[in-house]
Amino acid sequence: MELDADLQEIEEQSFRRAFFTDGLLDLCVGAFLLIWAVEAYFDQGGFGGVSFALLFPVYLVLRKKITEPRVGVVKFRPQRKRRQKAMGMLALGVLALTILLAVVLYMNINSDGAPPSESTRRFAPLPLGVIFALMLTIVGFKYEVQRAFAYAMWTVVCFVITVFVNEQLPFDDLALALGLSCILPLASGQMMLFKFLRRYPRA
Amino acid sequence: MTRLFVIDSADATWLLAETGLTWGNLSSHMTKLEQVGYVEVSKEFVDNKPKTMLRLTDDGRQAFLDYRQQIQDMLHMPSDKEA
Repeated sequence: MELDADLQEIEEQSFRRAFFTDGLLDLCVGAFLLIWAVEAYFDQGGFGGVSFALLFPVYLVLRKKITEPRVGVVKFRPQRKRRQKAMGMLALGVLALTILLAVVLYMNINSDGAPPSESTRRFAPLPLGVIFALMLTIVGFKYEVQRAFAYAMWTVVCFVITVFVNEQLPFDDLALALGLSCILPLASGQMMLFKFLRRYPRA
Repeated sequence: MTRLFVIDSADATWLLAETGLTWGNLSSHMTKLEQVGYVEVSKEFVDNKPKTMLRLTDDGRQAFLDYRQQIQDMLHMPSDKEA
């Protein structure tokens, strides 16, 4: 049974309240970017995939320990579960595309054994930033979470800043781009979590 | 009932947070709805802790839709002046 527009809106509100008001998702995304930045700083950027794989399980554990005892447990209708599955598949598709692009780019840069050109080296992290921003924008549109747009814009700004300063950096420019990108979700997530804990003290 | 209609099931804590009702108030509402067969109450164990899950039955869903339709009809009914 499909819901009417007004009931659909109530369902969307309930979903947003259940998943986007505790700030945990923002904190997890911020922490993931920060960990990846640290890995990139130590020239271990390839471990970003491991951090990404841990992102969702960590979020689920935190949700179980922090959110559910305070605002309870809710199971949404099968229609929403199907839509969420489709979104998950889309996110995985974007991620796979990102990895594929990264591999192609890497192989192109290193195909002739010569060092990469100045412009290639300079703009290399930018597509990653754009893809991140795209993923955040999809989440923002899908769930009407306004701050996802702010994160997306912030991510693009951070990656663009990196393009202009990366020549002076003594470390991997990806570390700077990711390190800057994590600031906004971490700060906003922290504020939201404080608000949430105040509003819903543990019973 | 609207809150329960748009989801599959939820525990009492979630309904309290969503509706802003007190425990006593919610409990009396749910008892009445359960007595007429509109709400199904089931006990589940989540992480070894008992949870009381509430779900709208098919009768409850139909009753909600009928009520909604009646309200909509009433709101769209022409007034005496228009008639």
